[in-house]
Amino acid sequence: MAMKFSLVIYGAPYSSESASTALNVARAVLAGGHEIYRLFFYQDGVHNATSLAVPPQDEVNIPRAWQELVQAHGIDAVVCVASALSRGILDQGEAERYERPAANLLEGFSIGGLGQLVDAALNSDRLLSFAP
Amino acid sequence: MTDSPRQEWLFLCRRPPYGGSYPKAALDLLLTAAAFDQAVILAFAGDGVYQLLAGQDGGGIGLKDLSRTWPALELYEVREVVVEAQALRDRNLGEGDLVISARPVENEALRELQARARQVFVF
Repeated sequence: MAMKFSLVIYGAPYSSESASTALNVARAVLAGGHEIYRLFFYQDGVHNATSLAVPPQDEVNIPRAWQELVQAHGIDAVVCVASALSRGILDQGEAERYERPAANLLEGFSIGGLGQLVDAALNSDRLLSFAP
Repeated sequence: MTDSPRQEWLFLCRRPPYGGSYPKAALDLLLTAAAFDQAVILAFAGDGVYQLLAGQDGGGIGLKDLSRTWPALELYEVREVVVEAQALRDRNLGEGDLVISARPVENEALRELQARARQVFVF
């Protein structure tokens, strides 16, 4: 029976295995015929949503890999606003509001709040957490 | 397969205060969960018990003292606050050292809480 999964990612890409493990689990969930209700990026996990990362060419580009997954499957990928602001992951609206020189939220991701994490926990069969 | 409205959610705090963003993150999420009418249980284990110490002052290092918010938890209908009894003993702390009353639990009871909760968030 197909299940609804949500994933909450607390770890930044490359700093620990949590982000890439989450990515691989997300792919496995979809390959197994299940649905991803939401991806929620919290704390350092917001760094998965930067458009500015330039990882080494011979390594997986984790932010882009998330983007491909999210866009290919129409997944709701939410980045926690408080975590994002304090770590400098801004969409255009915030960059303007706070008069910062650039916006860097990777396309495919949206800024949201903890209510969406709670909602994901309430509406998914499983909430999987990935932390460093 | 959505569950019934009110679920027991356990927030297990294991990190000490002033060392990073997790203590505040836990507080923000549990308050949101309580606002969504979930039955929040807050547990402090390991070095997390330091978050409950009375008489904190982060001013010298320019950090906020989060322990001031614990007494306000009642307003948000946090169902219960528990603290790992072994962690207190290991650190030579007693219930009198804490800023709020928290029920000391032995490890087996803590495991039961984790098994029983519908969601467990570890910070």
